[in-house]
Amino acid sequence: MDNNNQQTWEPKIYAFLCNWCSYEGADLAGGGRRIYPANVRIIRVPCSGRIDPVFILKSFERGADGVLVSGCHPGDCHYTEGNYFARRKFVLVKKLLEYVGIEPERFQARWISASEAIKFVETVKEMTENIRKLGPNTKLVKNIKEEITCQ
Amino acid sequence: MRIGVFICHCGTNISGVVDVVKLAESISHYPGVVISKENKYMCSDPGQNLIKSAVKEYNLDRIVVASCTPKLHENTFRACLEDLGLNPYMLEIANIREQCSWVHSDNPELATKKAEDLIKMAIARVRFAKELTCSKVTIERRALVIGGGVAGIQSALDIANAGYHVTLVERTPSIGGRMAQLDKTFPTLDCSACILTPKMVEANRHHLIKILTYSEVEEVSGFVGSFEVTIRMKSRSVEMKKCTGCGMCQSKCPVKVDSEFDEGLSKRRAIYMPFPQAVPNIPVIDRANCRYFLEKKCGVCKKVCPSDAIDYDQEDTILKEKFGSITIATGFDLFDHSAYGEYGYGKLKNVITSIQYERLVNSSGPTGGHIIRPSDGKEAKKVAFISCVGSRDNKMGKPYCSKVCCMYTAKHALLLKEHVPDAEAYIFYIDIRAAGKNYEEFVYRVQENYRVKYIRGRVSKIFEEGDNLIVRGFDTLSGESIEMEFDLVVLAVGVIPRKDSDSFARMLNISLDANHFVGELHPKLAPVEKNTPGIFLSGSCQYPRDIPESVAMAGAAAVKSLSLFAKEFLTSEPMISEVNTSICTGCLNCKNICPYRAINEEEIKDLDGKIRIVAKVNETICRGCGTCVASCPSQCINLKGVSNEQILAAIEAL
Amino acid sequence: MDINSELQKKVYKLFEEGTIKRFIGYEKGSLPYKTRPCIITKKEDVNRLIFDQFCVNNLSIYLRGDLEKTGILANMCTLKSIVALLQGNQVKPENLYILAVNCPGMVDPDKAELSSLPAQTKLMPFGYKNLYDKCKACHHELPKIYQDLIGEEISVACEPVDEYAFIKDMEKLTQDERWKFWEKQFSKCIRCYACRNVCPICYCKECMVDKANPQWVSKLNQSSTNEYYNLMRVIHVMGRCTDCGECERVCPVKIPYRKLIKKMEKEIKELYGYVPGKDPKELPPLSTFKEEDPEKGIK
Repeated sequence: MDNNNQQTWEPKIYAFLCNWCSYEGADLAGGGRRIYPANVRIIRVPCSGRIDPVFILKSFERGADGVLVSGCHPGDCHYTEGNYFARRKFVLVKKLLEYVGIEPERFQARWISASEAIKFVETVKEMTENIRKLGPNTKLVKNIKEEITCQ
Repeated sequence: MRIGVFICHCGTNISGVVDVVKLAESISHYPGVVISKENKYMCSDPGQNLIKSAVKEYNLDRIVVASCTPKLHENTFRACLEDLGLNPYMLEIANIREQCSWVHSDNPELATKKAEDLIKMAIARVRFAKELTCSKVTIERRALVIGGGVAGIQSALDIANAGYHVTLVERTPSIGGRMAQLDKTFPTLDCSACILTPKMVEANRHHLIKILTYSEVEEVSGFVGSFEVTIRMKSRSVEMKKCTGCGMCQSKCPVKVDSEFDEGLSKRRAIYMPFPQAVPNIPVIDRANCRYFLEKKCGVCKKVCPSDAIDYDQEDTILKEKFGSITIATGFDLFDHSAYGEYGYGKLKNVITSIQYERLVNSSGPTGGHIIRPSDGKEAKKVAFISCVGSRDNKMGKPYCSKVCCMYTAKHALLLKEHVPDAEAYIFYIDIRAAGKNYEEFVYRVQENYRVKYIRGRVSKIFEEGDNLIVRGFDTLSGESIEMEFDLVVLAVGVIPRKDSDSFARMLNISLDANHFVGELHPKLAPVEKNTPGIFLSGSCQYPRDIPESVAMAGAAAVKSLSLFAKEFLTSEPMISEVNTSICTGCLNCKNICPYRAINEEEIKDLDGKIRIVAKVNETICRGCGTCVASCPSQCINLKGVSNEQILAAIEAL
Repeated sequence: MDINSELQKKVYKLFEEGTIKRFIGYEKGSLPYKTRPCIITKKEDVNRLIFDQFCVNNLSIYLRGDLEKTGILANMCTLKSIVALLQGNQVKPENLYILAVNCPGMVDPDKAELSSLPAQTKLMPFGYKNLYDKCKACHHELPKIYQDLIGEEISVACEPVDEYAFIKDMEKLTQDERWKFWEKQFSKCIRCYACRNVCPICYCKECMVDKANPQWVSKLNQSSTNEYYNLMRVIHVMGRCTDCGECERVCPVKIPYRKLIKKMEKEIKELYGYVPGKDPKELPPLSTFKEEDPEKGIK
């Protein structure tokens, strides 16, 4: 995506979704033909517990304007406990990112079950709108051109 | 690396929005992509044949299919690769239908762009795909059942009847459990012993069931298919082979202590069988109370035993055996009502518990079925039954409903009326919960036919006045305070987890729920399974259960063992964690985190000969959630199939 | 008895009794008011050992690897780090003899006007204001993991300062002001990795930043990758960091790392009630969970 041109700029959102709930929820949104902005790029992981907080940083570094992480509701984890461990990480990473000055709208954590297609759609709509208002992310973003010239 | 990309039209489901032809063209120039093709239906035979011929023609070693959600056809395309002799995991699916064309039909241009991004991410992931295989493990086809109550007995019978060996371990001297203590069972009023005893005998006679009473499981290691279990058979001080169960010893023993079976309402001897129908029909010496062991005197039992079965020097036997599965049927304990000040801190003599009442009304119980009060032996004519004692009470740390109390309290009142026709029964309750087959009808019968009076409200105080008890409370339906005199008060004490459930859970390395019951794998879909594979649950160890539920759970747990034993061998999941031992620091953070307890420590020898500890993933237990991977401080665990390399590559692909 | 002779006597006895084969402590440095870590392996060397208010190095980093019986002089920060090492199974307690010291706090050479003071190495009152910030906020409760204790009990002359004061100030700033602050700090980073090398809990065999496959962090010294590196380090140590402040002390470009990691410490304390460096048996906050954990911010 061309992030430099302000006119054609579209928010780019990375979504890490657990295989059993949130990914299914997104699939269900598809099955129901629920239209949502084409700004989200889904990365399937087995469990929200699989999401290393560094993936979130990496996404921002590689030019994501927003990052969504989502798993089963607490108590519903397919692997019984993965999302509980994930929850602590998400809460802390959110605090950290806000503390260093990254807008809180850019990192969102949600519990989305396999039946919550609407919640998924609403989340994507809400994030896209909020990030569109904020504009492209400039914090933490690696300037790939600079890297190429260095190499 | 030779990647083939195959883009599906899905009729017009995808191609109606996404410009598939253009996409196939632009993707074909992507680094590493040898060939990029589109087809009307990639999952159809012609579509799969297209993949197959392309793989052969272009010598592809990994493929990306851009189509519907992987939930639908991932396995189809994996099988397709397998047919070709490729490893089925050299595949990535780009979900461009559910997550693209169907939801972005308003903007075909952006949808096409997104589809391209999704395919790029899949290509990035497939670059780091590795060949994955399953490992196979043999199964020890023997089951261990812990707990010899009705749940344990039923589980053991069900497994044994299917032709497998079962070891049933019971802590007390006899199997039978709580059900053996009960008088009648609701709502049918079957005599509890009459329906239980045949099962106990059947289990005892069964050639595939080994019953170990007066025994405890001490240590469990290993994993599904081969648990290594250490069982301590406590010394009975009676030789089981010689004893005929004549009972001479217990009639002559001079020591009397409170009977556990009769809940302290009668005395038993130091050498005793807990109850006449005990299985096995062999007494034990309670060494903590036996005069021979305390004072080295007495020895009466040895003198009177006609078969010379008494052996004071007998020692505990330690048994080490292997089992393929473990069923936990350890049952429950009862709430200690002395925590309630309003009910007299457990000090009022004529305030008894529901289980004591069961013994009182039982015709083979301490009073021969006469409902008499402990203080003076007078027959009880007016009895109050108080429900929810240690249930549904946050103040006592017991927020849950014990489930069986409403029903047994109704039964208790009914039995009172049957034993003492002119007696009066009052039940103080919060709500009546009678969800079960014929339960509601039973309660109705108790109210209507037996004229048992139900008073809705909590009791605020019980105190003695003269010989009798005064119960003070509030009737929330009439809005009046009540004060009534009773001969006897029966407290429906709640069902609580076994008092040693914490140490038991630690020994088995399993988790407990918030109330310290044994937590199940999934509250709806796997209620009799533990998150540790090969461990199953039966009866009230999981949550308060009545008899039909316990028996049903026992059968369900047995089926889980049987379906395990029916397999030729266990196969591990291919997409599981693996440890890079060369950089593992052995901090074992992963071991603490793993929801399945699949990770253990292992000693390895470094090249310099030094021994160090690293983490080791048990392949048959790991389910591949990857929580350990994301929590490893050294990034030395990786998840096969969803590796760090693959996820980072997907992030970097755009 | 002054603290040095007490220390030397005790260590001498440990060697003599065969309790330890080596001892990690401090000796006088080559400059006035400087000390340096030293490892002695024979009892004759005990007179090299000293302890004063300049013994700031965290000695726990010398505990890595397979140790023979080792004694260590542990000030407050070293003790807390040893707790973290025990939590992470990095030292075998049976091979460790911890000689704790009632830690008076360490003098920050940037604060004290050292030239005006006479050169000496025994414990002396440098005044509360000259201590390191981390020492000013210290509560002086030694984790009870030591075998022996030297030095007089510390009576805190002044109540510990609010250890999170600067975080609260920072939180008052706007999002962009905060980013500006950190961007400036991180832009100074020269990626020397001194912060990592000195960190007692960076005991990985192969650091994430050195990995090439996958490459978690670009090796470029570019502002964004420096931001990324520094935040990644925070994520990496959060919940395990015991706030010994070594990263901040050794940073050649003076990045205020404590201002960053203390934030996570504060949140962890408030959210999960976990305080690092107390009990080796306690699980670090990211290695456990409670069903009722707060989840503010997750919808």
